[in-house]
Amino acid sequence: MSEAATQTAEVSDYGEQPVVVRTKNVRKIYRMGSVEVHALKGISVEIASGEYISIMGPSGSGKTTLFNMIGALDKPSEGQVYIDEVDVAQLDAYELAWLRCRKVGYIFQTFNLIPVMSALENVTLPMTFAGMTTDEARDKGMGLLDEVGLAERYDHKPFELSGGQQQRVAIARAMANSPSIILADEPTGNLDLATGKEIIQLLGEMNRHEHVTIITATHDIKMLAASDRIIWIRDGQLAKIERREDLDIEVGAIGGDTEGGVEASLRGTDEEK
Amino acid sequence: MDDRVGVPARSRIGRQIVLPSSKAFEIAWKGIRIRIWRSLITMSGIILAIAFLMSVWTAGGFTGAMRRVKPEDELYPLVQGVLESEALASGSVGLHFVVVEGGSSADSGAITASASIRDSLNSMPGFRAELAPPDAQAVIDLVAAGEDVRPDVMITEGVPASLAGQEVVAALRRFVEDGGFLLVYGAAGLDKAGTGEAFGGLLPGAVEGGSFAVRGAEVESSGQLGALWGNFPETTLPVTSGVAGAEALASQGGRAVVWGLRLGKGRVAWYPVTAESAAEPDQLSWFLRSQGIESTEGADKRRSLLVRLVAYGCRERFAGEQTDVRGTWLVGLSLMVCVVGITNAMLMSVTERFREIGTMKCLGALDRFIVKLFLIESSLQGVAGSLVGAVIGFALAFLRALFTFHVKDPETGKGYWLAIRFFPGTALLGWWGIALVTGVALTIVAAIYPAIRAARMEPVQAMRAEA
Repeated sequence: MSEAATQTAEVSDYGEQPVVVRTKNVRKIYRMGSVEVHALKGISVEIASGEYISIMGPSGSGKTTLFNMIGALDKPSEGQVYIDEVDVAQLDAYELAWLRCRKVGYIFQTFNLIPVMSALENVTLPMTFAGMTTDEARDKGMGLLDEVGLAERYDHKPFELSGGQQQRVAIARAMANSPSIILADEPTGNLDLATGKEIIQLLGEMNRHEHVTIITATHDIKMLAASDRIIWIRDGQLAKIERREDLDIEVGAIGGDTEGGVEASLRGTDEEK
Repeated sequence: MDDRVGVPARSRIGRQIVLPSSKAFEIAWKGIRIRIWRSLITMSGIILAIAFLMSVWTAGGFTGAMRRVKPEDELYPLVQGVLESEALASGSVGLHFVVVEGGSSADSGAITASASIRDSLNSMPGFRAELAPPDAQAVIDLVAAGEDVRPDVMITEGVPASLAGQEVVAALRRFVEDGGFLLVYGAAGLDKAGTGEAFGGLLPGAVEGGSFAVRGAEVESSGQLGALWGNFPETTLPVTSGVAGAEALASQGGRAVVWGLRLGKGRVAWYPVTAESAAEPDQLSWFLRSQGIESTEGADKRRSLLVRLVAYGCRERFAGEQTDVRGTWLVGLSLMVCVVGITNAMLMSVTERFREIGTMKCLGALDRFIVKLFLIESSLQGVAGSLVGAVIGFALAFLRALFTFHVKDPETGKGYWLAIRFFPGTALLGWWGIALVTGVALTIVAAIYPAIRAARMEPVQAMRAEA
């Protein structure tokens, strides 16, 4: 895995920032009957605090599996995952729950808002789990909704909001307990082009203003421009890690449409959803 | 980011402990409202089961209240009349009677008496009566026969000499111990010391361990009454037409029934023989008229009256036992079906809500919170379902009781709503409480498995794109 070793060496020029997520030779093996499926074949990455990372790769490449490892949603078969220098596999149920409540914010492709609660109630739910009082929670919740531009719809239920609006609420919810890390799994997967752009922009703002580390797993090429680094996964292994500056994004013009141009030029290197 | 220096990394991770029950309640309550149709399906099971329970208990409550009406109450005869016709109407129990012909007296009236008893019994729906010769072997064969031939009740008028032998008595003892009833009608032969003791041993203590035998003897004269009393203290309940004889008995501490014999589950209600009641035959004639008996003259009529009363008592005893066993079985079964249905509906709900559950765990909810959520949801449904079910069950049974226990005094034509007058308020309140508790307990029990399944769900499930 010399390529991976080189990649790790490259990463350490972010040395001034503390490493918030580190994986060490992480493997995941699924046993289906007598067949062993190696979803991850030894991946080591380091993610520094405040970075915006995109994990990219085709379906079945193991990117979702790696993503789940990093987000403390799954345990590796071999290797370690450290969040804030703490080995996640050694945490018990209470500590894991605490981690998910306060250190990590989750954003899902299907938004996953609680359907019976309003936008504000959704945003304040994790604050309740963190022990905040109702008043504090409400104030902070309204503040977050304002940041994502949905202050007037605080009492709307998810079915009264569009996809983009629901994802905004989800972002506000992810920020509820001021986490160090936000994990976004295909955040633009269920959104159209324009709305997807807005969400990516919002995530970028969170990253810059709140200094929260953002880690996304995505197919969406639009995410490239917003990321600091892109981790490419292919076939359970680290394919390459690129920095945004090093990316070769050709913006062609098909009738003046830049988005179409970006997709057209990268079609060869990645599968589209 | 925690930037404390020198603090070991592990200790920077806290332990999640906040389990807000109010939040669980809020989510559960809202969840029910939004998923109202699914909730109604779950609740309908509880509603049906509790309605069934409640209607059975309510019906029993009203009947019980009627039975508790004291003889002193002015409406006692009307109540008794209704109770007995109810027993007759509702009983689908058929009883098989064998009436042994003749008695020790050469009285030709005795033969007619057996026939008239048989006819009386046959005229009552569900009863089957036949005559048997006063032959020892015939009786032995009869009581030793298989179930379809062997009678439920054996009636003999006095003790025919032919039935006083050891073998017969032994056979009859076995018959009684197996649950059969032996009714000795008339004191003839019983008061003879030897016969009386042998045969009489069958009557008082012949049945042990909880069941009781119906026994009675009609006494024709006070002389016989005294003798009877001497042989069988406290075990014989004479039915007498002679007030004087009854008074004599009462003064010796015994009991006597004048004209009417009431039989209930192991209890005997009677008209207390006192100087005052003896002077007021009105209560008694109430009863007789409600039974359609115009006059009590004549030994035949008295006999058929006695037999009719005994028959009611037998039916009640037999029918009561059967209903209890069958009823409990039915209720238990319906409750189990209900629980299975609820568990099924909840499991479906859990499977559908995988995203919600996974997301909540990503937000910091502990397993116990998820369990709490589902248990609260199901108890709310249990409470609502039980309330509705109890109301429905009570309403149905109350309506039925209202019309069942509506009687008209045959003399004055005045109508009485006995169900309202003798409303069993306290008992029914108890049944309501039990019904509620049962319903909630059932739903919670049914929800335990689905709740645990939900709690075991991994947060990573929330990431799945499809169900």
